[in-house]
Amino acid sequence: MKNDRKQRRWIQKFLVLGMEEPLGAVGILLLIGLLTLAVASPLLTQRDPVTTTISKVFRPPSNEFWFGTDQLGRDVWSRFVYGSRTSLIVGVGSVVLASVAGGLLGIFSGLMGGKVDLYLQRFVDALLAMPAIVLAILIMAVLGSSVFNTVLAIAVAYFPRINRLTRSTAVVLRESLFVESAKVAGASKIRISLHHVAPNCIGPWLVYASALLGTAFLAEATLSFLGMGVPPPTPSWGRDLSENLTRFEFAPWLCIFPGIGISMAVFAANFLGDSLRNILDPRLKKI
Amino acid sequence: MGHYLIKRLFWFIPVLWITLTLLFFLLQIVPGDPIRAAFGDQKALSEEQIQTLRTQLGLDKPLPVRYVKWLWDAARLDLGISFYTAATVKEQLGARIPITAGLVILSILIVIFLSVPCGVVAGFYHDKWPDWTLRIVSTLFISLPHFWIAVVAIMALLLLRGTALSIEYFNIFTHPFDAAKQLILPAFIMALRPFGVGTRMIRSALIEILQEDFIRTARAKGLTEKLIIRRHALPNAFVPVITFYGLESIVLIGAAVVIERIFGLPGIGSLVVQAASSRDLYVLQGSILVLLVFALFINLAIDLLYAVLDPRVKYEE
Repeated sequence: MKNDRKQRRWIQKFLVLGMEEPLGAVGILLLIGLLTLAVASPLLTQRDPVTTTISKVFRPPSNEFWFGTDQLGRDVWSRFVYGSRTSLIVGVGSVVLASVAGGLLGIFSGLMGGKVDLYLQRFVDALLAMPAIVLAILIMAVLGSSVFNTVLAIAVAYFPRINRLTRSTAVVLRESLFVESAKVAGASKIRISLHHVAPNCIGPWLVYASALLGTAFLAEATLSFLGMGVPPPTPSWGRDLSENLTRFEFAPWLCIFPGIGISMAVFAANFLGDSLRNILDPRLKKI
Repeated sequence: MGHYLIKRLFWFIPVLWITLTLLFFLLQIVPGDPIRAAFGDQKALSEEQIQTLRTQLGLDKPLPVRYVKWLWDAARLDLGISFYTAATVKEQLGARIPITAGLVILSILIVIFLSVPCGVVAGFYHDKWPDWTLRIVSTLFISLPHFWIAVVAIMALLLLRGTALSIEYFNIFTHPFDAAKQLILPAFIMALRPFGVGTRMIRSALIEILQEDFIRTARAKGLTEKLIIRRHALPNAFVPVITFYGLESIVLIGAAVVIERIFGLPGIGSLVVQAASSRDLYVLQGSILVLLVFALFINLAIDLLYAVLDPRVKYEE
């Protein structure tokens, strides 16, 4: 009974959110869908996404093959379902890596101030002057393609932005009264940064990290689309799309489904990021 | 103004140096060395051939020597050779620069000329139907992946006209109109996302400014709404937006890499992709350097524009 009431309150909260931020609610639903696809992949499809069946190539969508089959007779629905895993692992992985590394470095740089801050930020300046996706391509070319390297490349390409953001928050906090009193109380630098500064940076940091998720999904798809990123035969929406571009005229389903997958993931993350920004940054909501 | 200009131009040199250094050291983290990275797994070259190539390219020298050589070579625009075609990187870049430059500049122009009027309209008609329409449209453009839009556009062209892509490309500097006609579709697709963000930014900046006291004063003086927007509100709304255009033009250079690959445009972006997938590292290094210098130049131009539009910068010492 109690559990039931709790559940209803959850639904109510979600409905309120849906009224105020309808796009954010859509984003959450889509992300839950994506997560379901990724977690429950073996339940949603019995076919292996990399097994080839030469006798069944280029089958259009039917009852047997919901999304059709590709040039090697692989089931497109299976590749779609398992492709969500790649997208989610790389997207979330790189956002976590970029925001933790960028956040900690930003707090460090902002709290240290002086020369350390100056030189560190000039280095970040140089990284910021590069188009992030070009930087990611360069890193992929240098390290070679693998899932981990893709996560690393996207994280390195986007951490400067998070670094800048948390640094500016930390610089403001450094001068605040409660940090001063912690210093007077004899707290160590590590204690001040972890207990006093870091918790206060979380708001803007979270907003930026969630906005970054859409970018990371897109970056993974782009890298894979360009033939770098996740190596074959691992299913990846970006790679599946680019491999089948030339086959669009006679097998459009090979392009359409991966394209829908990418769009939905990017849409969901961007909608959620936008709404979070509206909710957590009241100044923006006013206008 | 003159003072600011000179200061800004001098600042260009250290930024270029940091960029060159960063590019050099990024390539140093290649496991093994560039030759092994390109040919190592294929066993196409014997150990002796690899050693000969290493000596030829100066890879056997210590790191500081190579670093100084890289800076010196870059200053002389000598960017090395391709591992595969043995053509110099400079040769390969020459014909490609106008295409990428044309694409990005055209795209920036589209962004500016579309997002400014749209942002003004949305801000002026705050919470009325033009505002709502533009908000929905810009949200859509911000969220749609540009390479997916490009793919759909090419498919649509294929189905409608039977052909989508040109074989020959005109030089934007010698045949500006023909080249612009070919580049307009990819440039437009690249422009969609920054158009969405720019429209939003101008809109919210304008809404904020229209509530300021000096606007009320202007209204009280009996100025027309048109004049208030043009003379009082827009110049103030512009200042933060110009910074955004600068940042966004860097993103556009990144987008050009992807869009060129999809449209088969033989620009620097497709060279980057080609070199990255074959791990032809000198070509990659050289072409990325050109993109970065291009990004620095655009930022310089935007900064100078900033000085023209924001009176506060002019008097700054």
